[in-house]
Amino acid sequence: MKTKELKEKFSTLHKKYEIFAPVRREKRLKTGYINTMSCVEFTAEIPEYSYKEAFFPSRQTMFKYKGEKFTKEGSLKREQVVLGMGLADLRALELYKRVFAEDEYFQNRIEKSVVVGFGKSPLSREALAVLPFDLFITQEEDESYKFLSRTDRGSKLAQELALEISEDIEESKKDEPFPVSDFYQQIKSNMEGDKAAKVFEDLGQKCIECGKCTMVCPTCFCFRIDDEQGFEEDEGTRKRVWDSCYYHEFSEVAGGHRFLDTTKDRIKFWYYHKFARIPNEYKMLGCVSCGRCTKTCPAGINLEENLKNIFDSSKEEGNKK
Amino acid sequence: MPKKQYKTEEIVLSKKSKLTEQAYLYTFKFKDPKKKLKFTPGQFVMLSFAGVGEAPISVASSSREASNTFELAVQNVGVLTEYLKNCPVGKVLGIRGPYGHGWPVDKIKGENLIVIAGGCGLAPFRALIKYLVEEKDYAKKIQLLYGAKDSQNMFFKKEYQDWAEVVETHFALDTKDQEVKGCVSLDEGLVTNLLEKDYVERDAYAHVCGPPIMAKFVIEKLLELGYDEEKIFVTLERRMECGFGVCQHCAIGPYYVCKDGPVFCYKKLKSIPGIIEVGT
Ligand SMILES: Cc1cc2nc3c(=O)[nH]c(=O)nc-3n(C[C@H](O)[C@H](O)[C@H](O)COP(=O)(O)OP(=O)(O)OC[C@H]3O[C@@H](n4cnc5c(N)ncnc54)[C@H](O)[C@@H]3O)c2cc1C
Ligand code: SF4
Ligand code: SF4
Repeated sequence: MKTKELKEKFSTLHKKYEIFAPVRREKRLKTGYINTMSCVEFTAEIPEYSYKEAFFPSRQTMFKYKGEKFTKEGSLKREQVVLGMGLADLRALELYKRVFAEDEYFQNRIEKSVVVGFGKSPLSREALAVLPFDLFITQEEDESYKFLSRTDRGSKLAQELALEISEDIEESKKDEPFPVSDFYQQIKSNMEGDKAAKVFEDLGQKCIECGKCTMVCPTCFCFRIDDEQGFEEDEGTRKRVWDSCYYHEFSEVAGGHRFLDTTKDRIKFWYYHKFARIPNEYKMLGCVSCGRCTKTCPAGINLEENLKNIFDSSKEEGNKK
Repeated sequence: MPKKQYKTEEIVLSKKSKLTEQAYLYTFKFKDPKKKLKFTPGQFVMLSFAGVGEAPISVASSSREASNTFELAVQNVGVLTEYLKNCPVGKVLGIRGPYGHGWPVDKIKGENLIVIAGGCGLAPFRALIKYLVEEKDYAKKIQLLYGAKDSQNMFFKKEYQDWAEVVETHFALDTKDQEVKGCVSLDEGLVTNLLEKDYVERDAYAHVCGPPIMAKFVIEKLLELGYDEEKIFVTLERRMECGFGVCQHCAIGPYYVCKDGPVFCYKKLKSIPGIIEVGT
């Protein structure tokens, strides 16, 4: 099966499902809800935006109120197919599944989603078995496509679209499927011991706190809860909206006191969350190495470089002694 | 299994009484007569005002029995608290919770306790003090050291006499404008100065709540006076959005103030840079 045929196979999808997929607009690959398959691109390229909007919307209405009457919102009306998630983005989805395990809004969306992964062969079956997809499309070396199914939902979708499953992937039963490597263990311990003060001193000078890295990051999930009044004084909505720990209001309490008071404090908070707090809490790393943050940063801040410096910071301290 | 983490219960404002120019004690009732609030002293709820937002507030009533009515003592400092102040009795609001870990009530059984509070920092102690007053012989000796700007800014002024049988109360006012009933001593100056007095028990648990700068000086003084860091507990204020350890606003090092706190043992906090830096 070639690309044209693949697209044709998926062309009836929108009749039954909402579709969230990568699309190219003015040369830039983005993600979003779409209503025609014609603009969708099947590619292993990592889109600028992640897939988090499909599971954890940037503005999630929680409830509406009118006078004293409250109506719960936030259930998807139709099922959705989330198309084309690569390995890194699937790993980020696994983290969200742990973070939002008890969250009714996230769980509602997951229950109504068919997750379709995409990757270039060869792919290790062991690596695939731990990722939370239903159906997976592999692009073979001869540019043809194969379909792997991991769940009943995946098989059902394949049946609906008349796709031939070439292989079933068995769900991994491993207890800790995402072990944190020695390199990242060292980073974690340096963050916990506040060893990289110098690195953050420098970053604090460079970062302009635009928050773009947190918006494009597939694992960032900080949020805020906002009320919005409607046209009438007694009606409105409560929304859960993406927040960014880079914004100075993030830690502000009444009276204007900020517990994370400087750019340096806030950027450190971000690294601490991804590389120390998340591994402690959820037994996996809070970064899936997708490279989006580095690519998007207007100040040229490079994650990989910083990680190397944080890693080295304990050695430098050792030399000083 | 998804839980209804944000499920907000409707409550009705049934009474307001003035504490200071800027603070009220609010009595609420669940709209559903079968609903009861079960909590421990020092835990908080998210108070919800549709169209305005939510705010974390410690429960101020007695925790001894779960009850359909409960009280919150709130200082007027911003948008939501101002709305609350202007709320008529009968208005329907919401709460979710209770959340967090409060004062270590089990630990102080049969022990001495000093409670050190500044300004509206007495609010999170009212539930504990009420509990100790109702359970008369629960702790050994209980001393309250309370600091405020002047007598006009003291919380729960009408209640000190009721507490007196169980709680030995000492006050420190920036300006000693008038006498206050129900206390053993009333000094001018900072609450940290009271800690040095001979009457203060040295072999005791110390519970602290007040503005960050006060908490820092109090803990410094306590350590200097030889209090055991395992017996010093402090409640922290942070911005909170969810209340159960997901939104990240209240994260400090490996902990969440909402979930692992708001009351922490000092020993746990001292290893986290920038939380309470003693001696800086
Ligand atoms: C565990 C805990 C217990 C508390 N108990 C009490 C109490 O018993 N009595 C009392 O008077 N106050 C208490 N506070 C402080 C109270 O939460 C704030 O004064 C209140 O949120 C201010 O809201 P506002 O809208 O009036 O202020 P504004 O300055 O207008 O708004 C503050 C903004 O910050 C947000 N915010 C989130 N968390 C906080 C926070 N902790 N402090 C301030 N703003 C916050 C609000 O949602 C709002 O968006 C407690 C705080 C915490 C963390
Ligand atoms: S590489 Fe950057 S954007 Fe990607 S997961 Fe890691 S921190 Fe987030
Ligand atoms: S994208 Fe770069 S400049 Fe913007 S907040 Fe992130 S690190 Fe700072």
